[in-house]
Amino acid sequence: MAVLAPRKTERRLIDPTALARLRGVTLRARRVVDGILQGLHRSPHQGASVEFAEHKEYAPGDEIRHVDWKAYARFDKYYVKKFEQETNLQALAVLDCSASMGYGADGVLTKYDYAAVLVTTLAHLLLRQQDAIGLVKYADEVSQVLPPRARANHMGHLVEALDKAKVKGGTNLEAGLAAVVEFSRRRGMVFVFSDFFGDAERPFGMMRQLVGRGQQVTVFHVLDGDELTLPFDEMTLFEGMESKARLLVEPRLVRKAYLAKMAEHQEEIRRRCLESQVGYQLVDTREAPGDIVLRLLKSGGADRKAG
Amino acid sequence: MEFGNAALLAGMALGAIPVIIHLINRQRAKLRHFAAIEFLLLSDKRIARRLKLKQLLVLALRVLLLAALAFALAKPYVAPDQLAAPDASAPGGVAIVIDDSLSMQAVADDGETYLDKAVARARELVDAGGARTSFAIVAAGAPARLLTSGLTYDKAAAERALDRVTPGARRADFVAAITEAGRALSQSSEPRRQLVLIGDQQAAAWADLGGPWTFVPVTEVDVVDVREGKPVENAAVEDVAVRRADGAAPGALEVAVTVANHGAADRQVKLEVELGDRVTADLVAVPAGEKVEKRFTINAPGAVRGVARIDPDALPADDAFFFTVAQSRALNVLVVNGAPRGMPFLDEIFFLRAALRVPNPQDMPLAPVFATSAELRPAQIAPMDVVILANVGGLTQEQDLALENFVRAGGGLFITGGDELTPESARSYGALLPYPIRDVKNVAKPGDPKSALSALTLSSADFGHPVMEVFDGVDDASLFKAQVFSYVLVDPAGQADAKVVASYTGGVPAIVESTLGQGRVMLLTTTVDRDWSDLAIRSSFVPLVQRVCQYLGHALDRKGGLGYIAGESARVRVPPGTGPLRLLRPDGGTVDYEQSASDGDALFLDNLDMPGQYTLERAGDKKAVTPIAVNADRRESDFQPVASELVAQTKAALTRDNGILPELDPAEPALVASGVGAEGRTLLWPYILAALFLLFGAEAWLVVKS
Repeated sequence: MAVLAPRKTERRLIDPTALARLRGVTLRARRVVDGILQGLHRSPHQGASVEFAEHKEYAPGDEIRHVDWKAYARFDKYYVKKFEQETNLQALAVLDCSASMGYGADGVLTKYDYAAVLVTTLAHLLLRQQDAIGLVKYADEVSQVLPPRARANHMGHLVEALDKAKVKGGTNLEAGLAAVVEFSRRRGMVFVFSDFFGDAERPFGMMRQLVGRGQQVTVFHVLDGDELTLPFDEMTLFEGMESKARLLVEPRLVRKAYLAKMAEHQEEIRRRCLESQVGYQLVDTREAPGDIVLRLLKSGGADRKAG
Repeated sequence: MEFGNAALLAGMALGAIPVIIHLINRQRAKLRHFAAIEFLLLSDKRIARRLKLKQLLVLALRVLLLAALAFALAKPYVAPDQLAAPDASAPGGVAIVIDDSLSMQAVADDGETYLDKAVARARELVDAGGARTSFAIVAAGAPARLLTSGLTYDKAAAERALDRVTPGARRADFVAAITEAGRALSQSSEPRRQLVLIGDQQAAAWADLGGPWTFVPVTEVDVVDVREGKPVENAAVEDVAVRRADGAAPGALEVAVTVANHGAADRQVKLEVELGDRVTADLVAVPAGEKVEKRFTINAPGAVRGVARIDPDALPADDAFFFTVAQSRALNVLVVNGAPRGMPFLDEIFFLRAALRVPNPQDMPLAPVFATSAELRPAQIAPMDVVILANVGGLTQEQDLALENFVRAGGGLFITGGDELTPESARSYGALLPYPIRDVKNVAKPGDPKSALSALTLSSADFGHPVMEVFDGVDDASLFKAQVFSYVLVDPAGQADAKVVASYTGGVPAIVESTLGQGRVMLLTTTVDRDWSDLAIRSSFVPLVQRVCQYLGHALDRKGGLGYIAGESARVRVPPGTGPLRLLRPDGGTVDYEQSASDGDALFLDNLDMPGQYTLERAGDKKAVTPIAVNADRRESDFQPVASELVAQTKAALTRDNGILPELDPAEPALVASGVGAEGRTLLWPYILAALFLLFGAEAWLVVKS
């Protein structure tokens, strides 16, 4: 199995340009989510909040400060105001660290690096709005799990975890999603980053389970520009990154058939996502990461505050 | 198929370049780790077979392209005879050269002689001739003969000429025959000039056909082999040498017979020798392609002629060899007297005349004729074997030119010194002298005892030289005691083709030699009379003079004597006596000569046209006879076929532009050479180039499609 060490150059996992473009933008879950902290997202629980929900007759134990004195004056009964509780979001990024994610066109980020930039960008976004984010890294098996946290210093832990990762081994997304199931007792969001070069059948079964549990799952299908276009001309000996397969071929001779196969692959992932009520984002590593996140936010409910 | 530039065929190795590039590309293929290789593999599997087939096809096309390019540049062509039978139906002049030499009498498997076949082929060509086709018929047997009056449109005349083609014991003379044919074709008013050579195409007949030719180049050359490449199993009695048998009875002769087997299989032949009235025979095994000598000792006193025979085979004419006991052909020697005197013993050639007439033990008789320098005519020179210029001063321009042509053609020239041969007069000798003459040196006076010590003697000689080898080991040879009082001084420097054969005391050149063309020139720096030397009265003078003549006449080069060759002019010594001469031919015919020749003179005979025993006799005197044995030229016995390369070279020489232009009627249409080269070849390279373009297009299409 091919083992690809991370680049010696320090990974630049935080893209200032992407962050600048996301200033003032918040990520909102389309569904209600559970959370401990107060946040931007609607909660199934009612509690202290500025958003009025209904009145109820006072009962011992209710907060005195929630007694609606105006209603008492009108009805001579004690009514207590009930407010809709807002909660924080708990998100999990499931990141493919298999060897195939180590591919990157010359001079450009690898697919892993690119996905890591996306993770940090989302993490920055979520942490800024008091939401929690965790990380599950997997290849043949789950290699690291970083539980969701909303603390400010969590960003550092996250970046460190992403930076230390080594891309190697095969793709076992099912294992990564199983870890998510274990951690996701609360409803929240799950971001899956993978090139899906492996078994695409079983992971989507897991994803359907997560959706059934109230998770909002979004797939980031990460593909390099080379993989999308096969731009090579000279005779090339291709060698697999997760297998020992080799092929000596003039790329121009197989380009047409390859592109058709690649399009089929994308379409299959997209179709499976649709069937599983999972969001799908094709990530072309030639695009700016900010564009990808903005596209996600537009499809997933972004809310740009003034200023 | 033949090639104009065969060396360029090596360029076909360029065809390996695409394969090498392909292999290098494989070696240099960039290794790339690629995540989506599964999709590549799936794509490759799907199109692999079709793709690899296309790749192989492209590679093959590229190899073919380069190889075909080199092939085309080598200018391949197909010689006309390899294409089809010659076609004489198109307008133009057609010269048919028929080989009517001895070898054409060989009998083919179907019982026809090759000459019959050749004439039949020629008739077919004439019959097929169109209204604007003119013909010339040339017989190639020596002497080559134009049998029509130049080119003729009259087919009947051409047919009649073919009727005159008869078998004869001639040798093939293609040079003369082609020259006759070429000259006839030069008269053609049509641009097409076709030469057709019909014969058995023996290799021996094709020598010296490389040109240059002195007629308008022909446009087509067709070679018809009536043998159709089939071998001829022929054996021949090649030679007979007769010597006195050592240790046998007086009058017994040793007859050495050489039998050659020119066939491809070993043979055992019955060899029979008839000498006088005695006949002896033996079986002789002759391996294929080899010669075997068989010796017989025959006691036949008084016999003067004989014949050696083997069993008749495909070519009976060379199965018998006629010989005489004194069968060696005499060397014709012309002695030119540069200082004739009224008193015989004072004459310049008095001693020379005597020396030349002495019979020699080598059975190589000399047949001298004599003339003064004033009488010498150029026409006298050519028939000679050797010319001796005895103290001849200035030569006329015609004499010098005739002598130079004579020597260049193989004749021998012996120049002797004397008071007439001065540095000034020697300038008229041109290139004939081995070394330039600087001066005349007088070192002593003849008959003066006081000057005896200052006279020169021969002190050194090249005993490896054929002339001098007979004096090797003879301690007191008189040659080295002869005194020389005067000599012409030559400058032996700077002449590459000349050498000193013998020297006087002090290294002064005495006998020098040079080669000129095919011939030889020797110079004796003193006289052959007693004016400058007493060499002429020494006993060594006779063998010296005779050896010089034999050497210059190439007699010492010969391994055996063929006697006289049928069809060639012969100079024979007339029988003793007086009265008219009569030649008795083998076929019973007689030829009378009105002008009688005196004893010791020679007679030119140009009618020895058939092999056999001839007799030259004095009319009315049956005892005064000269037996003459005539045999067919044995070069005709070897049926080794001519090499195709030589045929191609000859065709090229005949069709090559030599600057001689035809005088064509400008109204006549020019020959359109569509695929047919100006040299009568069918050129293949234009078709190959066209194929190249198609290949190139196919390659480009395949590359684009793939």
